[in-house]
Amino acid sequence: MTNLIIKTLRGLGATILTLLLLVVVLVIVDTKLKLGAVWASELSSFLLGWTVMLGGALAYAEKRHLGLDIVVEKFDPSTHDYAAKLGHIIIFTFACLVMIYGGSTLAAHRFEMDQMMPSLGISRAWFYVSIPVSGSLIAITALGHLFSKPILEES
Amino acid sequence: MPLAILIVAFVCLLLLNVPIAFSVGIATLLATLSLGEFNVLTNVASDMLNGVESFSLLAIPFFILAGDLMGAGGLAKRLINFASSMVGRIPGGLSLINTFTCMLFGSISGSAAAAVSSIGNTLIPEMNSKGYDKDFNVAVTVSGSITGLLIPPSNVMIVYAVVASGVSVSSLFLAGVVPGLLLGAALMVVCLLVCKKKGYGQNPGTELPKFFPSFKGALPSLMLVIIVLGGIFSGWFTPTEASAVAVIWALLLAVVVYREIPLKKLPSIIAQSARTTGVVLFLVATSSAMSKLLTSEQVPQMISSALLGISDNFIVILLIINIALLLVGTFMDITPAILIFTPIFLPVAMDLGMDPLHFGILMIANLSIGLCTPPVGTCLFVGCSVGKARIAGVSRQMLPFYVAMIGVLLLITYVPSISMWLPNLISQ
Repeated sequence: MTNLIIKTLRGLGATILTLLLLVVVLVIVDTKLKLGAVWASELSSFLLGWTVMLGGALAYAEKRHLGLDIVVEKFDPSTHDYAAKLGHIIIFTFACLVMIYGGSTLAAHRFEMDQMMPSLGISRAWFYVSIPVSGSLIAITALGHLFSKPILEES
Repeated sequence: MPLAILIVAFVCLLLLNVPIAFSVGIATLLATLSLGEFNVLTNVASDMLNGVESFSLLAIPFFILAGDLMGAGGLAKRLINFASSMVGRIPGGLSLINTFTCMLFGSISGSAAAAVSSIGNTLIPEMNSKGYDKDFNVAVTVSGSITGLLIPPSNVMIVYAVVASGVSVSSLFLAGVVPGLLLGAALMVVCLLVCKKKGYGQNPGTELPKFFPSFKGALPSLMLVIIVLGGIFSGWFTPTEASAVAVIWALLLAVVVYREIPLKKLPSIIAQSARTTGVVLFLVATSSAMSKLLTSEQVPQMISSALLGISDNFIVILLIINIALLLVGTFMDITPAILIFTPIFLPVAMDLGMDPLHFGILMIANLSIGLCTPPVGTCLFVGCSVGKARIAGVSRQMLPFYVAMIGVLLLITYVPSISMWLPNLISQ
C-alpha cells in the first residue's frame, strides 16, 4: 500500500510541479506583456498549496522529513523499534485530528460560505481540500510504517 | 502554561525522532488546546495552509528543481575544470579548487548537502590520490559547502524573508554576497596554511585544464547565477520569476546543450524536487501555526525583556544570541531553526536597532556552521559518507575551519556594513 502511495504521489508531485512551472512562466509573460491573465497568479498559489501538502505526504512516506535521531540511536534495537512505533502512532493521530478532521471541517465550511477564487471561478474550498487529502495519505502511510518490519527510523 | 506545554512537548517529540515538521505541529496543537480555544483543530489546519500561501515561497520549489537539474546535468565536472584552470597551479591548489567549486556549486544549486556530495565524489578521491590527508579532504569539502547558503540565490534566505515578514528577498540576496565571499576567502586561507604546514600538494601538476576552454565549458552554468542575480538586481525579475527562469535555463542546459539528462529521466528528477519541496514547505506550514501561537502568547517580548534584563549592551546581547544559535545549530537543521527562532530573536535584534537584513545574514552564517558539526550536521555526515571517513577524524581536521567560520561570524555580527554595504549601494 505504501509503495502504491509513493508511486502515485511521485507521479502527482511531478505533474503538479510541472503545471506550477508553466503557470508561473505564464505569470511572468503576463506581467511583462500585460495580457490580463490574472487567473494565472491565483492558480499558482492554489497549485503551490497542493504541491506542499502532497510533497509533505510523499516525504513522510519515503521517510525523508528532517528529524533528530541522535537519542533513539543510543537505544537497543527493541526500544528503538518501540520509539519508532510510538512516533508513527503520534503522527497518525495528528493526521487524523488536524489534517483529516480539521482540514475537512475547514473545507466544508468554505464550501458552505461559497467563497470563490474570483479569477478562476472555482470555490476556494478546493485549496483547503489538499489538507484532508494529504492527511489521509499520511494516516494510511503511518499505518503502513507501523505494521511494516523492520521499522526504519526517520533520518 | 501553554508555553511550557509547547516546549516540553516539542522537546519530547524531537527526542523520540518524530520528524521536526510534525513535532512543531503537534506541540502547537497541544499548547493551543490548553488555551481552551474553540475550533482548535480547524484553526491549526487553516494556519498551516495559509502559511504557505505566499508568492515569495513559490521560488523555493523552482530553485530546488533548478539545483536538481543542474546537479544531474553534469554541473560538478565543468565547475571543477574551471576552478582547476584558475587556482590549480597554486601549491595546495586542489584544496582551493575544492572550496572554490563548492562556492560556485552551492550558489548555483542552492544546496550545501548536494555540493558536498557532488564535489566530494569527484575531488575527495582525487585529493586522496595526490597525498592529501583523507580527513582533511572531507573537512575542506564540508566547510566549503556552506558558503553557497550565503551566496545567492539561497533557499534559506527566502525562508527567512518570509518568516521575518517585510524583508525583501532581493535585498537579502544582495546582503549575502560579501559575507559569502568573505567566508569562502577565509576558508581558502585556512586551506593554504594547512597545506603549507603539512606539505600537501606542494608540487601541483602541469596537466591542468586551460583557462579558456574550461571557462567556455562552465560559462553556461555560471550564466544561471548571472541571469538570476542580474535579473533580480536590475529589477527585471522578482526572485520568484527568476527562480522559474532558472528552471527553464537549467532544463535547456541539461537536456538540450549538455545532453546529460535523457527526457525519460526528467519525471523522476521533478518528483524528487516535489518531495524536497514537501520537506521544506511542510515545515514552513506547521511552523506558521507555531509562530502565530508564539506571537499571541507574546513570547518574543518575553525573551526580549529577559535578554535586555541581563544587559542592554549591543555586543553582549548579540554574543548571547550567537551562542544560543550555535547551540541550536549543532542539534537542528538550518531551515527548522530559522523558522522557529527568527520570530523569537528578530524582535530582540530590532529592539537593539539592528536591520532585519543584517540579522538574517548573521542567523544564516551562524546556523550554517551547525551543518558541519557533530552530533547533527548534515554536511558533515554526507561528507564522511562520500569520503569514507570517520566523524571524529574529520571533526579534528575541521577545527581550523571552525575558527575561520566563527571569526567570519563575529565580523558579520559586529561589522554591519559587511552585509549592508551592497544593499545600501544598490538602493541608492
